[in-house]
Amino acid sequence: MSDALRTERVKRERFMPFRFARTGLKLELLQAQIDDETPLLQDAEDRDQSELHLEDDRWQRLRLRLQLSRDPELLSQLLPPQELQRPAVRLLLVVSEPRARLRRALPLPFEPTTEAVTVEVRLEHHELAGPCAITPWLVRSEPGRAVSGFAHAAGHRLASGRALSVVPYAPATRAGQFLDVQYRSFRQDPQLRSQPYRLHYLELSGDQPLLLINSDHRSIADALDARGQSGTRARLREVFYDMMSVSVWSQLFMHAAEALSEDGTTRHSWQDGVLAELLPQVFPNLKRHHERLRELIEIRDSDHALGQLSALCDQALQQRLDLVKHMERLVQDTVGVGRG
Amino acid sequence: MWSLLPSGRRLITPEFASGQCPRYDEKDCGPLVAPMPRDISLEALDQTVHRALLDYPPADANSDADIAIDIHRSLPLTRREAADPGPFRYLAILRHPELVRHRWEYRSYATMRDRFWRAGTRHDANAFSRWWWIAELTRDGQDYGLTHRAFSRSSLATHLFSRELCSHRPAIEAAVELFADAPASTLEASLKNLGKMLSVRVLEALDKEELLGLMREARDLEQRTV
Repeated sequence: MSDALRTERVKRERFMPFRFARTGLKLELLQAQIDDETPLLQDAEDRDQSELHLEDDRWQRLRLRLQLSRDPELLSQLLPPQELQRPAVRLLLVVSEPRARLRRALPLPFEPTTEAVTVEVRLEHHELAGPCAITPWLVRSEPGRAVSGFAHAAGHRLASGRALSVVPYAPATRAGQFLDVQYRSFRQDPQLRSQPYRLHYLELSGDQPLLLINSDHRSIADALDARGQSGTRARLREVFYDMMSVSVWSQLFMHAAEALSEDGTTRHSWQDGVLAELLPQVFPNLKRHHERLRELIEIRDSDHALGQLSALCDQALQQRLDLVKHMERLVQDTVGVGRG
Repeated sequence: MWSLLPSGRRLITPEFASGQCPRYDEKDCGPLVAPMPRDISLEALDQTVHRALLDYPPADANSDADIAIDIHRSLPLTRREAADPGPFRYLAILRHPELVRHRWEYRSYATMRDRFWRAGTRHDANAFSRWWWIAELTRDGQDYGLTHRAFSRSSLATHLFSRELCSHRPAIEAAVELFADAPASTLEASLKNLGKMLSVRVLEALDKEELLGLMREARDLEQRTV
């Protein structure tokens, strides 16, 4: 390949401007108890799991007994030697659930000589609407003398560890415009455990469609959950959602078209919503909704229904989803513009 | 109390947003709504809305604090329930669209559509969601003093409640105390600086006094730059 055609790739990573141990803390789930039920003790090999899925939505209070431990050498890596006698640090768990805007700090006792601490975290049903993260942090508690390469301001991050994610069985939020969205571990789901390769599954048997996203594919789920509006993660999220949307909308459209009766009514209100939203792009030359419905029924009942419907749906979705714009933005953000 | 389903978005036409089509008959919108998981009476909320329409002049930003507190007091939702935008969409689109139009003058369809539909606390979010959530995030039990102070200047509420740090009450307290009289440009730039400073800190580990100190640094940094 000539130099002119070679594309410059720049890998961007976020580094802390001082010593920071991203995996210096270890959070383990020892026990979970729902209301007054018998506590569920974790087997030793399952204690470092990163997710807890509740089987049932009918609970009031969840009590978790957690153990937070650290490497014995951790502090000596993070603080200047003169501070090790009396380390100015604060250990805490941060409990956060963005949908219900829960952000709570749970301070933990810190003893320089004690390497593990056990703590109970209580979560109330009414304060959670979606997955809740419990993240361990070690931060500076007081400002210190500025020493190059070491954190010195109060609140500066020193160490963290893998968060425990508590997933309520039936989150009450509707993240999508036409369907509910839930993250679920397919590995732990009785119906879906045989298909761990799946990224998502569209459940259409209920009154409202439900999109299940496989949280076992952690890095993809994190990318889908990214909340910023700029940067590579935001661009990735747009493209990932577009890719899922093509598959999901196609299924929604086909089901709605199939359910459409001769008089233009459907079985579920979401099917009306999907048709009202998509048909103007499927049949751009027809001005009225009832004309579009009539045309759809005619095609559906024709000899070449499947081929025609899928082609029309695909064209409408590509227009609707702005796939090209989102992919171009991702390309610009990752490999730059106008190279080669 | 009902929840407006996602398919109800099609009700927000330009005619509805501008008020040419003032309201829909709830009876015609049955397939677009779902019941809430528990019964919530709207009697107190209806009275609050009717009082607000009589007591405050149209497009009056000074009315936000009082309306937010009254709506929060008369709408006993849990955070789990309020995380669903459906109930707020029902209130704004089907139950009391006149209060949304009374508070916000129609300037463009896109912005007005968001004031009926968009979830959250941004200045252009669903009006009921914004009022309820800001009151929820700023109250201390039945004490709504911070709610009043947060709404005291619309630019303060606009910049503060479009950022994630507004879910941490000590951050709101500190920002309201420090930036109550700051020009909008200083406030915006200081909060941007603060965002950068927080990227190497843990927000929840900081109390109000520590956050005040950090916000002063962020403001001074901005003033030095100017």
